[in-house]
Amino acid sequence: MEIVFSPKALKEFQHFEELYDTPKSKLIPTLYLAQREFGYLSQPVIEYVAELLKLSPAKVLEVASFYTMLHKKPVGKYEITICTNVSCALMKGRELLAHTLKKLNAKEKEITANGTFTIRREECLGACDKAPVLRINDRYYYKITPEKMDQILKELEE
Amino acid sequence: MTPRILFEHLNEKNIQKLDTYREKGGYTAAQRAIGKMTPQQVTQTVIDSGLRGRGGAGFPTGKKWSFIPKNEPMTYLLCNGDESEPGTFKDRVLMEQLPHSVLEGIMIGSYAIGCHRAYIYIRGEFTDSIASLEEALQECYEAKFLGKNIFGTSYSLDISVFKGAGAYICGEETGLISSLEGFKGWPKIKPPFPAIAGFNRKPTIINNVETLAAVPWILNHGAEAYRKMGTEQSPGTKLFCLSGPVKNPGTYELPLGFPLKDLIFEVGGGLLEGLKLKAVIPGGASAKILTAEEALETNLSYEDCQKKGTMLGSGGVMVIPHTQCMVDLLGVVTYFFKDESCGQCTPCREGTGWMEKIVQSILHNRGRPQDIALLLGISQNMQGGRTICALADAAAWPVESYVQKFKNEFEYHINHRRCNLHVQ
Repeated sequence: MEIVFSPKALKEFQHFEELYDTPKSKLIPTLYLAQREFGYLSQPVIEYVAELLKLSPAKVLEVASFYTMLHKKPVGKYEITICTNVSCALMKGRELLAHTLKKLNAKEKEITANGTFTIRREECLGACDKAPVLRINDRYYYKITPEKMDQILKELEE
Repeated sequence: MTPRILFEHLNEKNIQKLDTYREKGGYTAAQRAIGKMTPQQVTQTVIDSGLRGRGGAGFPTGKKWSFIPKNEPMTYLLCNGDESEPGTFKDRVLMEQLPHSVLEGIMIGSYAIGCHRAYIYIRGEFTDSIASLEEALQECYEAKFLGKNIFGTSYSLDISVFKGAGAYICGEETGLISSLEGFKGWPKIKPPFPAIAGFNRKPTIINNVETLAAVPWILNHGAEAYRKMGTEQSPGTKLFCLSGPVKNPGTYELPLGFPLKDLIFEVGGGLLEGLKLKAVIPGGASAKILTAEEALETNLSYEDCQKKGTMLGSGGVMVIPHTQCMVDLLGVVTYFFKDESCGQCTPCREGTGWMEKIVQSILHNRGRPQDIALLLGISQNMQGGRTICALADAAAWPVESYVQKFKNEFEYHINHRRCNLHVQ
């Protein structure tokens, strides 16, 4: 696969010029864009972003590896992040994580055998009044019990 | 009846829309400030109101604005929407439900410090906040409330949203600047303070979402009206995020100085059936924990929390029930700080890692009698300005307070090789 932005992504990339008055502000937004386009930030993608922004690949990788929402490894079709911080821990978030991993016979941060899910624990997601909380890709799910989790997984697998 | 400032229009239908927000008097404060007041007058009003930063530190907002050197051609206002302090979910409500009040606050703040380019840094997980603010921004640009010559004046302002990428440290103001500059979110040594050399080395003010959202009301009603609520040292209202096993968790606007007891038992409806209050974390996971007895006597003001040896912080109030093992809870908190330490300063990078390991070893019944003193020693060595930012202090405070106030539980784990609550 050739690593090059689609015309739509390229247009968004050019729009960063207007959004940010400083060229260096464009790095994280460009990495997000690359992640959306190519799925994750492989070495060739890192090099492509570096070339676009006239930065060294080392610098781009350094930044990409600092942030948890930027993926350096492939992730499943659905990335499930389950909060295990204080408020969620008090409302059985950790048990929910264990249940989910067991249910899918999965290891944390690794893609399930069918390529559908990647599960990882997450720090506070900022919705503690609806604990336990999780996110699947860009969507929040609130007050999730193991039973509700099973239902959600079933729907996603279909 | 509790006063409503930030949440004045929370339940209005379509308040996310510019038209509705204007019908309710929105943007009159910005229009008057930019059209009829000098930046100094705006700053003075905010100074007089006594508004303090709602992100955690509680620094007086107007005073912060006044640190910007005079006649600077290029300054920045950064609105901090990186809300990541565990137990905090107030800025999200404002950004999602009341985006225009956040934008109006940013406009007024920007005008006060002579800024023409403002950014809203929002944590990456908050997809809905980002969408809501981007929509509101577009409406403002279409209505010519932003861009060149806003409200027919000579003042111009652009605002952009910047999406964070999952790092607690980017809520620290210089970490946020690093991130916005396309670096790892490493905090920077102060001085120079951001007000002198911040983003792009230009004078920069970083304000929390909630702080800025309070500004339009203050300009509309005056500093004195704002001071009528809250306490002498903590004027106004604040959003409190109540979570844990209580009947009515949620975000509540309350006057500062409100009794913590009433937040939990009146507003929050008390704990769920069968649970008793054991402890309260009053201001996000960084705050020192309060025992139930201490919590019942604490008022939610900056000064009273400080008097009780903790902090009001971000207003994230977490209620701990009697069934919760404190060694286990400290395991959760130390894991968080270990995970989020940026790794720049040795005391924090090493300290957070070792504290987590020791707590885990006590929790899993491999603890040694000397571990309690060891934990307290490490936490002491991380505090008091030994690191570039306050994350080390924030990681040390819970360790120190949990161990000191619930020492018997730690000792029980060490001496009996099991939990005295049988929850393990």
